[in-house]
Amino acid sequence: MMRLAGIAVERGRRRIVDGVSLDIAPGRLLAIVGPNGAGKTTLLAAMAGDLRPAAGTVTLDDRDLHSWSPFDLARRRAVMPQAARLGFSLPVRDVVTLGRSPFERSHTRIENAAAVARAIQAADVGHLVNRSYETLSGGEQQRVQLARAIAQLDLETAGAKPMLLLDEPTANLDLAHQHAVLLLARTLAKQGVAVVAILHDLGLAFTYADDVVALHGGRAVALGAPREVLTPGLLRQVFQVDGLVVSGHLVVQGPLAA
Amino acid sequence: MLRRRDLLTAALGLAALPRGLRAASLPDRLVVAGGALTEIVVALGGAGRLVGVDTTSLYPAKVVEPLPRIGYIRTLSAEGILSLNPSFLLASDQAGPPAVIDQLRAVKLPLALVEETFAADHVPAKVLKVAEALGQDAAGKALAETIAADLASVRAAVSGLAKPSVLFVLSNTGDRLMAAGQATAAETMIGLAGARNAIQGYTSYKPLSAEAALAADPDILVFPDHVVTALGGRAAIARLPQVSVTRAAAAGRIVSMDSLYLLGLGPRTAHAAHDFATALHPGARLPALPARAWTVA
Amino acid sequence: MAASLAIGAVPLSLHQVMQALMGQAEDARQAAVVWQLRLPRTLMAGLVGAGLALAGALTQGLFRNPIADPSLIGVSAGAAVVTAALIVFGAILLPPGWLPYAMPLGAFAGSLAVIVIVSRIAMVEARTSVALLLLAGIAINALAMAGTGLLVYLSDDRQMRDITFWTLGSVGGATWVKVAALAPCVVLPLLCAPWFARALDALNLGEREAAHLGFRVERVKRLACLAFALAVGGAVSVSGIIGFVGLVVPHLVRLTFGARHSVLLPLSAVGGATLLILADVVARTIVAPAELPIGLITAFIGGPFFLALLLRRRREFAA
Repeated sequence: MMRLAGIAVERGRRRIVDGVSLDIAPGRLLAIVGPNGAGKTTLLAAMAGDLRPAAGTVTLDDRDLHSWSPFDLARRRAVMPQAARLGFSLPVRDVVTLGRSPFERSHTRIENAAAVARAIQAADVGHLVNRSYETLSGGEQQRVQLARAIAQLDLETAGAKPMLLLDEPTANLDLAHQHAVLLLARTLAKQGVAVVAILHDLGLAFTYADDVVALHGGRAVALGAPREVLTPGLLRQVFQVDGLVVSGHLVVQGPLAA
Repeated sequence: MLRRRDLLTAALGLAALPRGLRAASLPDRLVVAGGALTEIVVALGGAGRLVGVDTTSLYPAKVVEPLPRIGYIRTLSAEGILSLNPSFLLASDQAGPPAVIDQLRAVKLPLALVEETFAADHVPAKVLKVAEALGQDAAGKALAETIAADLASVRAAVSGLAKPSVLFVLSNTGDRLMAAGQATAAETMIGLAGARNAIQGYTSYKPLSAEAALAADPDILVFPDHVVTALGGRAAIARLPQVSVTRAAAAGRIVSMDSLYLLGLGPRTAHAAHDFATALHPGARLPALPARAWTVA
Repeated sequence: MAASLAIGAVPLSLHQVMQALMGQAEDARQAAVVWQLRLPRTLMAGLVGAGLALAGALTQGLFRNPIADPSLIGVSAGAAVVTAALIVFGAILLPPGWLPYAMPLGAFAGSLAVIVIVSRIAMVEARTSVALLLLAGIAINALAMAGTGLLVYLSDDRQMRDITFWTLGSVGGATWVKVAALAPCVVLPLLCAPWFARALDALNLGEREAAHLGFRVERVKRLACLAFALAVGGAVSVSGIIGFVGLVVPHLVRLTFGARHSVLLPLSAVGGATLLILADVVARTIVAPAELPIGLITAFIGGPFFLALLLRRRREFAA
């Protein structure tokens, strides 16, 4: 269980996230939504341990996140970056295999290979395994990065379940893969993973997330179940769009007339 | 070749010495690193035994030109030298890199390092060292004494003359002139020729500025022959901004000489000093030195 | 290796070399040529080549950039200027006999200083800027050249020739002592290669991503810089500046065997050793009995290679 207690995060001297408190529970998919510049990526970086909060605390299993060693932390949470270019091109399979780095010593070669194979299948990149990463399209690269992050999740070992942090996992994907990725996130959550995803598509957040936190100007303006958070009032106030729920789906109707 | 050796032995008064004895005491496959040393070896009659020389060995041209070159004196190669199958290496203490000398010692190649300094009186001493290394003590002693005597004659000839100040330019890179300071062969030769170095205050050769030239304000400018050619003649030199301000340029007193001959600090030093003095003191009548075997190329 | 032992200015057959190695040479000089000249020289060329290529592969992985070569980014020059200073002032400043040991230490310190400065300059928010990397390299190379120029000005003629010769690079002065001094500088980083390989593979994804995979990125960078400076400093102090080995070799290995560092690091070392041994064979035979500076040979190979690399990847570098 990760707990954010009243955290403020700064980049340079600017306060990007301010006074956010929330719990990230195993078995749930939390969506972070908000307009550009709301502080979504910064909040995710604080969860990943990249940024140390200027105020408040982030704890994992009641221990300050920054007292965890990078190695122990890597065995508990994986991060899928928004976009990642390689310094030198590698075959896709090698990129996914890098996700097993924290388990090279603790697991056998066969166990690690099996985990890589599962991740490749789950992220639907099986047909790309022998391609060079550089030659892939942006969406394909993103799915390879997802596979790498999934390979890093240790689901077999008994004990605390891992976390998966996804930074705009659907950004470059076609519609079918957008849904496939979020279905996968849901499946992982069902297996006990605590999944956090930054989502721009409010419809996807509404459909797939267990919880939604809406950021606006660095503050969490709403937190709860999708139906409670993504209300027409909030959509208008935070996103300047009209939206309503039609037969279980959120339909966004475009920008408000000025 | 033979003629030169006969001439030499005659000059040294060694004609009576049995030929076989001298031949036996000289190493039969000799490699030399150092232009002055090569000249001394040839003056001692060893021309026929040379199997390789470095690139600073340029005189006598007829002797050294056909020989394999072992490279520049500071960048020798151990295996290159060994490939000539030498029985002896005679090298200046300037030869290197030091590691290569160490390597040659490690493979037990007999070798002698001869100290080289800028003092004129060191030339006879150098001759003795070379002769000793080659087992030619008697011939060496005669050669050294002759050179010392010639040096003394030159000194005596210029002793009464007024000493003009001389600015010596060694080389040019583009239009930069490198002028001789202290601890240079040029300064030694200026002194031997009865003049004084106009440049004071630094050692070795440094780029010359117009201001430094003006401050030194020499009576005479000296350039090597090849530099005069490269710069387009004496008239062009007098117009160079670095030197045009000097008295010497205004009076057109620009002397040029073969720098190898002048700065070699080998057996020809006394004769070079004599020729240099003649050029620096045009009014004086300096008695000529007797021609020696090693000064007749 | 066999070629390097068999080919040289002194004509020896492979058979004679084998005899010499087994202590059964027909004459003492043949044995001496093999044992005192060719063997240490071949080993030194191999170690220098391995060190430079390994150092190139390390920095390229660290900067995630294929053009990080010790000579291009100014590290060799940094080591060179310290060594040149020791050539000029060492005899005055140090007790006699210390100079041979001070040279590798000084070169190590010089390369370490430069790699730290260059990486500080070129890394902007955990990313390496190619432009900044090269510009920093240009600035440091210029500074080092000025420093060397000043030293040449202060030096006497003999020291000046030494410095000039030395900046062109050579393994001609190989002795067993130098081989012994150089060996740990190359072997130590090579022994750490498997450890570096995992971290550099992760760094290939990006610094943040490597941290997410559990690597202590700052520590990896510091140790890689140390290993790098050790290899370059050791190589430069015994052989002068030999350029482009660190650029060409890792690149060729990557083209042939891929970018995984567990393969790249050891094969770069092997490739660098091979390249430099061959270059040295050329250097010492082509104008025998004199020899060419080996730095000229590697520059003649590496310069066009670098241009071809720029031509092929110019779009990428321009971005």
